[in-house]
Amino acid sequence: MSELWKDAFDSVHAEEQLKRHTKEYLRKKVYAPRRMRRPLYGGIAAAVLCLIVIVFSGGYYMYTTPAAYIRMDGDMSVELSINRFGQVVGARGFDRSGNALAGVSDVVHMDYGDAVAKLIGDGEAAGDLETGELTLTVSGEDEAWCREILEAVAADTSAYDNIQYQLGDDVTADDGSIQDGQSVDTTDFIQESGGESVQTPQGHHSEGEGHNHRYGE
Amino acid sequence: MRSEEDAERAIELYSDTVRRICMVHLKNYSDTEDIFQTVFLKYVLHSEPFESEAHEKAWIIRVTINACKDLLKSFFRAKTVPLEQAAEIAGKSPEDPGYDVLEAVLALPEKYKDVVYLYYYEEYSAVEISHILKKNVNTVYTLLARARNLLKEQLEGGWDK
Repeated sequence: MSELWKDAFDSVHAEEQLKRHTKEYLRKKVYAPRRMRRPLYGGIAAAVLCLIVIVFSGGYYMYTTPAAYIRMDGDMSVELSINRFGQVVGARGFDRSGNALAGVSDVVHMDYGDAVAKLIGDGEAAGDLETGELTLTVSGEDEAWCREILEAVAADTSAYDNIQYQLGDDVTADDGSIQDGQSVDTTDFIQESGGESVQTPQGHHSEGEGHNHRYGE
Repeated sequence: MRSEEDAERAIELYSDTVRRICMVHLKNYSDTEDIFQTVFLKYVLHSEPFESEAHEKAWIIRVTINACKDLLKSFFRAKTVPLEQAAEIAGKSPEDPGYDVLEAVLALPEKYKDVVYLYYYEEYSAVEISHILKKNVNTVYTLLARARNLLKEQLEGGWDK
């Protein structure tokens, strides 16, 4: 290297301040944030936890909120609140005398079909029921779904002859309970049975099919 | 990503080289600080290993030159300063040896400065310079020849190849 070039450039050095500033810059930009990254992980964990809480809260709300009601009126009066998953989330029952029916709460968290069958069966076994007819009304905001419920319950209880099935208007009170004494309009789905062969909406024939008996006998 | 120790080692080893390239291209100290931060940040974030120290130095030089050029392209940067001011930025005064050469290099058009610095001071070959600057080797020879002529005119006999 010629002396001229050596003289020109050898004396050019990076100032200590420049090097120090560069190191500080790297420390802040690259290395220090690593130490602060734990709060970020903590933040992510908190966000995931919040998401889980929201999902579970939403799920809990959906599970516990009634979407339809099954009311059985006859010798006993029972109201079942059904969530959108088809599970019973509330049940109240009274006998003819107005006394609370024991065991109604046993059907909570059951599938509505099983719940209805159990209540009807329990009513028979307990002897609480006298001869007469049972009116089973399904109501809710989603008429199509209520119809589906009604058809399913009708199929499940097809062994009984004296049950009337009907769709009702959504006659729920603000607290979700079906109000006594409120009239419900009968809609296009009413089935009457009297021991003769009748065709349920699902095409099930009740005559001669299995244990065919009158409800309450 | 490289460790903090590695970054500090690179700063101690190559800061003078980066400083000299900045001096050749830039007009003020704050631009030099910007380039330092840019170059060594890129170094830290460059995860591929270097084949050797020479490879590492060549990489630093290329990144520095590119960073200087990017900075100079910025619309808001001052385009020119007086040569005397540029030399003063390098800490040189007219009485210092090598001042004339420095002034002559700073007076060159931008495209000649890097090849001249890398050839005459860092003593890279034209082939090595072509790799660093990503230029055709014949282009490097041409640039060197033209720069030499300009420097001769500037220095008039004080020029020693």
